[in-house]
Parts: sequence; C-alpha cells; structure tokens
Amino acid sequence: MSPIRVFPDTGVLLAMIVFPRDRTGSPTLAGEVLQLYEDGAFDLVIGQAVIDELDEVLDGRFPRYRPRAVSLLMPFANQLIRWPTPAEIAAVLPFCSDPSDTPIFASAIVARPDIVLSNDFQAFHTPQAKAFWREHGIAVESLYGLLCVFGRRECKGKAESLVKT
Amino acid sequence: MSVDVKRITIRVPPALHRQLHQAAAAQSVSLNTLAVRALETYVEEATADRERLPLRELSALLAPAAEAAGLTEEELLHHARQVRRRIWQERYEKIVQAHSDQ
Repeated sequence: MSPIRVFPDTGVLLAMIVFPRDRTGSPTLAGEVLQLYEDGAFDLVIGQAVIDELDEVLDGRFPRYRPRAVSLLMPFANQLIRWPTPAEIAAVLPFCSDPSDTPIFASAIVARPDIVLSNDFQAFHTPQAKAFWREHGIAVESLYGLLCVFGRRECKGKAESLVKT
Repeated sequence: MSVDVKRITIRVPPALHRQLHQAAAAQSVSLNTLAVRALETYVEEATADRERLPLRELSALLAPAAEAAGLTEEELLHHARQVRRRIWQERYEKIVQAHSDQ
C-alpha cells in the first residue's frame, strides 16, 4: 500500500529543517514530524513553488549555507511538482485570503496529495480554505494534526480516519 | 527453463568468506543465493535512502546556524511570509491578473 502523500507548506518545511528541537533539546512538533518522515510513515511531495521560497529564505537568512543546501536538494529536482500555470493559479484566487498564497495552493492541487501540511492557520485553515481542500479531496492538517493522524497525539475526531491500516 | 543471469566475481577476506558460508548453511541456501539476497537488500535500501529528501542533513547544516545567529522560528516564518509576497509580486501577480482579465 502506498504511504500517505503529504504536501508541506514552506513554513512547516522550514520548521522541520531549522527548528526540529527546542532550546532544551526536546523535539518540537516539527521535529517529531521530521522523525515520522524519516521513519517512512509518509512521503513528502514538494512543489517547485515551495522550493523557490525555501531558496530565497536560505539566500536571505543562511547565505553561507545555501550552496551546500542547494547541492543536497539538487538530486531531487526531478521529484518536484511543477510550477502551476497562470490559469491554475487564477482558479484558486477566490479561495485564498492572501493572493500571495495562490501559487502554493495551486501547486498543492497539481501535486494531488492526501494531506496539505501547514501551520499557517490564517491562510490554510480558514473555513473558506478548508472547503477548498475538501472539494479537492485533500485533508489539511497542522503539525499537531499530522501527529494525530499517526496516533502520536490525542485526536479530536477526524484526523485518524486518514490512516489506512 | 533458462534464467538470464550475469556472473560477477568478488574477492573477500577469508574471515568474511567463512562467515558467509556459515550464514548460508544456517539458512540452508547456497552461498550464491545468500549473496544475491544480500545484494538485493542493499540495492533496495540504497534506493529507499536516495528517494527520501535529505532533511536531516539540511537540519544538521541549518539548525546550528540559526541557533548561533539567535534566529527564532517566529522571525524565520515572518521572513518566509515576506519572501512569499515578494515572489508573488515579482513573478506571478501581473501574469495571473492578465489571465483573470481575459
């Protein structure tokens, strides 16, 4: 059976990479999700649009480490989900509270994941956005919600139904 | 029935050779079968490793750098939001607007 496919927003990808542990050394929610990924609990499907943002963030905040980071990601370039077309981006405009999120929303639709993973509640978890994801047969989860999906946190109802046994 | 196989010859240290023979005997298989299974397992694991994104390696690179710079998650995510808006304005806004106006 295929693993669950998860499309991460740039913010959670950054949190997984840069902040997997808190100041006491304990795993953060993002760190726990990173561990689940490494254990093979789910697959990540990553959009080129997300990588564009990641690259610019690295350039702005980690310029010294960017070349090495890029070289680590380069072998996976052929796995990235293509950029959405202008038509695909325009189609999601009515569902986004901030138009700058539309390339990521559209990229997620192109990727057709089981779950969109974002901790940006003002953009990805609004009633409008949730209806949008539901309409496309995609669940939207926060880091905490994804841990619920895999039984690592107490669920409040819907999340665990995604886990196939 | 003919089976398409290729032959390879490998040289191993005597100690490993002895261990391989013992392992094959313990599993009641030939040394060849044991070696083929070991190589198949290696290829599967190597392929699986290659397909997973090197997030831990990226983390080992960037997490200490963030800590050394005193960068907080809130600051980084705020910066990421600014990057998103800039990319939207520079790359997408006009062409998407033009498409919407059609």
